[in-house]
Amino acid sequence: MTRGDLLAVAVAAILVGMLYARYWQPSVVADSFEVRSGGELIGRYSLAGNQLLPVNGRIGETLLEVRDGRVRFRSAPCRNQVCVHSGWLAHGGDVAACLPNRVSIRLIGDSRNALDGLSY
Amino acid sequence: MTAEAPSPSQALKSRQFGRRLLVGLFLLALFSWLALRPPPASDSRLIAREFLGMGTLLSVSVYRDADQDTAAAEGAIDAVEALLTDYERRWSAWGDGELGALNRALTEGKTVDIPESMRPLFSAAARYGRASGGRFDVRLGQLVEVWGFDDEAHFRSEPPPAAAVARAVAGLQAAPPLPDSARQYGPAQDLRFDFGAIAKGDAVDQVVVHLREAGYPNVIVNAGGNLRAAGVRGARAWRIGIRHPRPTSQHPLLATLEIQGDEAVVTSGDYERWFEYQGRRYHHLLDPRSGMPASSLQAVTVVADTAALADAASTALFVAGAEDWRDVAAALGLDRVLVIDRSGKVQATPALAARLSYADGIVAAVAEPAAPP
Repeated sequence: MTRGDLLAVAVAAILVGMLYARYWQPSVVADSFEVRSGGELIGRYSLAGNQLLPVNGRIGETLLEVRDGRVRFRSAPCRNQVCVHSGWLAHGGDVAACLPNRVSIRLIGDSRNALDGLSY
Repeated sequence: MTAEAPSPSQALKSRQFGRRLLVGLFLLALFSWLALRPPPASDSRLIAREFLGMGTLLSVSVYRDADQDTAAAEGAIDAVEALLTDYERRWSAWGDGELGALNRALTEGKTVDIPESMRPLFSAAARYGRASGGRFDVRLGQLVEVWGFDDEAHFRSEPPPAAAVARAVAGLQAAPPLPDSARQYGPAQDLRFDFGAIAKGDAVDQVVVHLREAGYPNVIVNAGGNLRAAGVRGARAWRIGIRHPRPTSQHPLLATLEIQGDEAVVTSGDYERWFEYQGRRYHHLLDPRSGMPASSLQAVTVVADTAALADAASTALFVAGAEDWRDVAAALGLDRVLVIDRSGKVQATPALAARLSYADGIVAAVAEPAAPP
C-alpha cells in the first residue's frame, strides 16, 4: 500500500464513522417539543440537555422533565395523573396532555421521518 | 488498495497519484456534503393545530396544495374548531346540549323524541350495538357515572359498591333496546345515553368530510388517539404510530402504519382512564353486561373506513376480550385488527399484519378472523 492508499482508507473510515454517528438513530426520533397551555403555544424547547420546565396551567403548575433526548410529565396538579402515566416521549409526532390543567406537549422531529399521528 | 505497480516510471507514478488524489478529493467532498448538509426545513405546506376539547387533545393537520395559501387553510381549521366545540356541546351526556336534554327528560320518566340531526348516529350506534352482541352500548351512561369515568371531577380511587354496579346493570337490562331507526326512546328512568365510545370517532369523520368539501383532501384529524387520515402528506403517505399499551423507553410504540387514501385508526386500551386499587387495575372500558371493566386485553386497534365504526368497534372488541374478539370483528365486518392480550401477546389479522411495521423486538402472531356470520 502506498501512503496515498493509507490516507484514502483513513479518510474513508472517518467519513463512515461520521455518517454512522449522524444517521444511526431511531428513524422517528424527535429533536424538540412544543408546549401549550390553554391551547396557546407557550414555546418550543430543545430535547438536548437535561432540564426541568415548569408550566402554569388552569389549576396549577405542571412540571415537565427533559432528559436524554426525551420528555415527560414529571408531576401535575391533576387528580388522575393521566399525563404522568404517559411516561417518556421521544418520537416526532408524540403527544401528551394534562387535560384538567390544559397543558399539552407535542414532539417535533425531522419531518421526513416523523410520525404524523398517534393512535392511543 | 492495489499492489504497487511493477517498476513504473516516475511520470506514470505521479499521474496515478494525481488521479487517485482527484478521486479521493471528490469522494471527500461528496461524503462531507452528505454528512453535513442541513436537514430540510420543516415542511411549510403542513399546517397543524391542536386544541383541547371533547375531554381530550384534538389535533388537525392539513397538507395544503401548492396553490392554496396558508391563511385560507388556517381559516378552514378555525371553522373546524368551531364545529368541534358545537359537536361537543350537542353530544355531551351531561351538558346543556341536545343529548344532555334528552338524558334529563329520561330521568323524569318521559319518552323522548330523538331530534332528526341526531338520528344517524343513534342509528349507527344501534346497529353496532346489535352486531357486537351488546358489548358496545350507548345506553350505559348510568354505569359510567357509577364508576366515575364520566368526569375528571368524579374520578374514584376505589371501585364503586357492588350493589350500585348491579343496579346500573339491571337498569340497563330492563330498559328497552335501541331500535335501528329510532325516532323516540323511553320511558327508561334509570338509563342515560353516553356516546363517549363513538362520538369522538363520528366528530373526526365530520371534520374530515368538512375539510374535503372546503378543498382540503389531504388531512389527518386526531381526537385523543382516535384518528382518520385522508389523502397523502405531499410526496409520501401519512405515517401513524400505534402506542404500546405498556410503553418502555425501548418500546414507546408497538408499530407504525402508513395510510394513503382514507382510513381511520382507533385504539382502545386499559391505560387511558384508570386507577389501581389493591393491586388491580380498573379502567373505563366497561362491559355493559357485567358492569365491570373488561380485563382480558390490554389494547385493541381497529382500522376501518370511518372513525365512528373504528371507535365503536375498538370498544366492542376490547369488551369481547381474548376469547371472542374474532367473532365480534367478523360480525362488525372488520378485517384490520390488532390485539394485545393481558400477557402482552400481540396478534393482528392478516390484512393489517401485512401493512404494519412492528417496532424492533415486537413479536406478533397473525390471527385469522372468524368466518363472517
